[in-house]
Amino acid sequence: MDFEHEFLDPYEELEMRYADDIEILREMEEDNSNINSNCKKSLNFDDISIKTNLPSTYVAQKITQNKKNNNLSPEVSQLPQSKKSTNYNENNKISYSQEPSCSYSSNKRTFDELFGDIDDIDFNDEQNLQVKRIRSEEADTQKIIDKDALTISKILEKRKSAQCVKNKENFRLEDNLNDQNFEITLTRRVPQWAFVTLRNGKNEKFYARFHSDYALNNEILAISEQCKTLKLISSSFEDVMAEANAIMDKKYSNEKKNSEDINIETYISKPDVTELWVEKYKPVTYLDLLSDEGTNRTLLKWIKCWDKVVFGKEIKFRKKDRENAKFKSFKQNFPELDEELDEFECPKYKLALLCGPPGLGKTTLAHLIAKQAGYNIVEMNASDDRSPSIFKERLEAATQMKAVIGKNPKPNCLVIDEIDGAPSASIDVLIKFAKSELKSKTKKKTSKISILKRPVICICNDVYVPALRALRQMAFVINFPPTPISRLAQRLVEIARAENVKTDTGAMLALCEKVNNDIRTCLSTIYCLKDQPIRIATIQNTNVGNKDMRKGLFTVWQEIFQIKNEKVNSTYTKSKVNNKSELELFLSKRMHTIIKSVQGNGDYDRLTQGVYENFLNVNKYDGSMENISKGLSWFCFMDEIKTTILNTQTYTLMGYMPYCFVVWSFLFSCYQRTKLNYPSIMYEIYSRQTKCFQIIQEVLKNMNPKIRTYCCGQQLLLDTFSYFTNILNPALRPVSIQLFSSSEKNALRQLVNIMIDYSLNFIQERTQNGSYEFSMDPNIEDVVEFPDIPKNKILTYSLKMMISREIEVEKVRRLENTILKSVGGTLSAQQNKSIQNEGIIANASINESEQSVTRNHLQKLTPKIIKTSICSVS
Amino acid sequence: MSLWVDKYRPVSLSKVDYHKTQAEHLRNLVQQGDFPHLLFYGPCGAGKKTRIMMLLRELYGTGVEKLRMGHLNFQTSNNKKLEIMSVSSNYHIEINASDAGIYDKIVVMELIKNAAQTHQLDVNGQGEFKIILLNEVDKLTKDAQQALRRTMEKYIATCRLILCANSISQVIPAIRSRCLSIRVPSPTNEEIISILMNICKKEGLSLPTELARRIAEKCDGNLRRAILMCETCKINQYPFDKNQNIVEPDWQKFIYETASIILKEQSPQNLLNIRSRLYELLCHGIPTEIIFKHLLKHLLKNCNLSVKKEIIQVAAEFEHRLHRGSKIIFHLEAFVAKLMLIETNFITSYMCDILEFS
Repeated sequence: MDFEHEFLDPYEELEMRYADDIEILREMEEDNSNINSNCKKSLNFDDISIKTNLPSTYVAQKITQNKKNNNLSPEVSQLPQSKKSTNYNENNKISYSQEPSCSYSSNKRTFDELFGDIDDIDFNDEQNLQVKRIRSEEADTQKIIDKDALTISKILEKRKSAQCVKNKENFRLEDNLNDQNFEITLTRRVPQWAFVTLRNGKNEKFYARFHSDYALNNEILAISEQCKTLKLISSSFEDVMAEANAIMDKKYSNEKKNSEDINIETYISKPDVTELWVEKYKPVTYLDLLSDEGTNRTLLKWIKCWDKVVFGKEIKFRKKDRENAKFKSFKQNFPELDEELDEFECPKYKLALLCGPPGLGKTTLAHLIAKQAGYNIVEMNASDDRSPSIFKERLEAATQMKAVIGKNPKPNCLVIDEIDGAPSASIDVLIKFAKSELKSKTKKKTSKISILKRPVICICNDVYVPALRALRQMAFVINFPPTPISRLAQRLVEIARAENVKTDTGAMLALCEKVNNDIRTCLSTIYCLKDQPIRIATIQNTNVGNKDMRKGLFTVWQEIFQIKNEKVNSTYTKSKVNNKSELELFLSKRMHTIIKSVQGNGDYDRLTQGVYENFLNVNKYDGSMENISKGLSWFCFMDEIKTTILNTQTYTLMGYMPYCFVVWSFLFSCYQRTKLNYPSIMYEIYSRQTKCFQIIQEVLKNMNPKIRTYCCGQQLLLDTFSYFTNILNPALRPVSIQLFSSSEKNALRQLVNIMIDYSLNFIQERTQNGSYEFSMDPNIEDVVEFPDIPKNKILTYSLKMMISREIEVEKVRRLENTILKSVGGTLSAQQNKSIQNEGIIANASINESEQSVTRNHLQKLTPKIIKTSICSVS
Repeated sequence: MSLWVDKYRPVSLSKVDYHKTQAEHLRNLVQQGDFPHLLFYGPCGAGKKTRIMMLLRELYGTGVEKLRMGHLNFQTSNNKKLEIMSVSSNYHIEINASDAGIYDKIVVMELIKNAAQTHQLDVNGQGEFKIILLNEVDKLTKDAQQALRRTMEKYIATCRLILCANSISQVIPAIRSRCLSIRVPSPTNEEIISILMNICKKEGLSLPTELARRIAEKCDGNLRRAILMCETCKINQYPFDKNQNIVEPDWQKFIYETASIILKEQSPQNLLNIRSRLYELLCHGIPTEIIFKHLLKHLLKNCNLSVKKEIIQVAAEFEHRLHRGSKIIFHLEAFVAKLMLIETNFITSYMCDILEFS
């Protein structure tokens, strides 16, 4: 079945893509099969050697040489790989291009049908014959091959005659077009026209001519021409071909271009489908604008201030008039525009900065206003390169050049969109540019080039981006208020009506609320849902158009603590009366909003802290202990999760965290709006804690090492220092030290010793009200004293001063003692013990610890003897 | 050395006032001149450190009492500099590794390596090995303890570790098994009384036995606190009166007051008040276990018998949760709120009972 293999495989491949063409091709193929069957040749599987295989390039050349089909040849030469595929392509392309222009398709159909009839009959016969042949005779194939040429020619003649019977006119036409051999539809040589390779049983190649679509069309045209006897053939054919070429060229060029142009292509091919609703229903006139009226007017007024410098019009009079009218008509809640002009007759604010969340129509407004005021708009946005140098270039180009060519040259108005994304260096360029007139004024008047004489409107979402700080100060900032919800909903209903979308105002209001008045999102959502009637429930249930918004901390806290407005309130009360399911619905809705906003914020740590520090204040009056206890145990849970995550990096647990906020919200929320405080206590606590810690460390650092070894920070804090407030407060009379009784003197000495051991002292400090006070240094009183605990009597100022002095004296004395002792020690080592004893007796007040001297130590110090003795002598 | 606590601290193993057999054992241990790593543990103020120092003195003679302060510098892997205070003599070095917080592992490793890699110069005079004294081992992180276990064995030729801890439960078993554990229990009330009497005798004061007993009862077996109390009593009023007021530390008073407030009123407003008090305690660095312990102690003293069990259970639960978490205040306040809830529930049910009864 060699024959079938050759043909069927490529069909299968192409079938999907070119169903129409394949239909035509199949007819032709069946033609050929008819021929084969008629000649009664046998199929020989073994004799492969006879196969005449032409190299494909050769075929291609042949094809290119075909000058009759000159419009096809370039195509074919570019695709020399497979003969068949090229042919198909040719055919396909031609048919594709011609189909729309073919007005005689009904005629063609009849041809097909006619051919089809014959094929059907013959094909079956051929099948039967083939089977027979395979079984019976393979030996006498040789004879048959010789006959082949004859049979083929016979067939051709038969076929020709059959065709002649059917459409004589057709042949005449073909004779006109192709002067030679056109009638021959089957050749052994590679023909000059489009063909299909066939193989007989001996693998000999035949080339069957295509009755290509185009040929058929030509025939049809010829017929029609003949019928009408008008000279329409050439002209219409050329037109058709030109059109086809044009389309093919376009396709080719489009393929080469990058993806950017795909849009254009689709736009060309399907102009009315691709236009987005956002574009379609964009406001066209000033009156169509949805945005806040005050904002619109302010911007318009600002741009009108440029009239003087740009158009040379006098605007003073009109402006005053309008201003007065405005003052009367409505109160403004937007910045008052300073309309003074400077000496260059430019407005005071060179730049306008429009800011607001996305989807409110800022860009639309800017464009419309500029158009309204008679400017040509030059837009720069985030997709443009905004490196400082290019930015400057474009800035200058936009503001100083002017369109000369064109019907109606207008001055430019530069709209810089999405300026918050621009690098700060570029923004600096803009600012310098806007300010440059000051410099030029001081230097020379001639450098007028750099004066900004065209309005520049900047648009941004977030005005508090650090890069915009300088711009914010010098530009005329217009905060874009949210679009009035009713107006937006009304417009949406209008659009929906225009697009035949069934909806109602309520649903639109819900939609607007859901997406925070983002017009774009509204339209996209409606577009998405347009195939069904849009009701409130649809809006609520759909998850299309949900915006992932990052909300501020306070917004989230407020959401947690405050049950929303009267609408919810009514549902709540109603549900109390009616049934529980409604309450459940309400609760689940609240849960979702809370989870969404908490997740949107993401700073769980700070949010938790905020809830913790505020919930008792919110719930001041009606909180039951049970709720509070529950809520607090959820705080513990939150903390445990957080600690586990940090310790083990099990971030999957993070998913449970937002649910804590839901619980808190359900437990603690109320209808009133409460004032929330930013959580700062934790920081305060932390700083106080470190302060205490540092004080104890300070004490530990300077303590007598012998005592230090027995102490650790916590012990000092819990035991020793707690009693110091008492122990360091002996009963001393506020009199001079000379007047102390012996017990008092002992107590004082004890006190001084303790304070030296623990490296404490009193130091003079100036208090806030200007008086001086002695306080402990390091101030362990801070560490151990608690509020609400009655304080002990405090030592008087004079006593503290005295103690402080005593401590210093004692320190000096001890130092002295150590020196003397070392002197005594050396003497004892050198001379006799009696002197040493005397020395020790002399220093009676030496502590026992200092008396015990180790032998090791003394031996080590022997080199010092001479020095110290010299010192003492001198 | 004039605070009584320091002044009358025994310095040699032969002079201890209590746990005398233990002291005998320690002396025997040292007599051979060699001993394994030691782990002293016991409650605060029982005399662990005193015994350690006595042991060192027994081993090296009085030279060990020539102490000096030092600072050790460490650098963590992310270039953070740490400074740790140390107390050292020629024979030993003492540090509190938990001062380094989460970086204690580095401190432990570096310290032991530095100390252990150098042999003693004078074997006769200084002994064959150095002592490294680590305080608050139970507060070391698990990492640091793991780091310790190998180094302990590796450098046994040149150094011995003496570990000191309040509780053995936080010390990993690997370390416990490598050390000879020595428990130093609190002195009994009688022992405390006799010690106090002794001190007063030496000071030339006459302490009524009744007052000494009261002090011993109040001090929770903490001898240091007992002596400090005694000294405070002396300062406040001398001659002693057997019924005189014994001063308690301020923080303890504060916790008790907080407990009373909890029992007095159960309302969100009051909870807010208690929150600020808890913050106050945390600010001063009072350890959480002490807050829990004393709150519970005072509450149990003053609440009804029927809720006692529940309160203990709740306290245990929240203290456990606290150890798993990190924000202390949440857990403390949750505990307090739960207590308040228990108390309100009890009162309402009690009121109901009374109404039914009548």
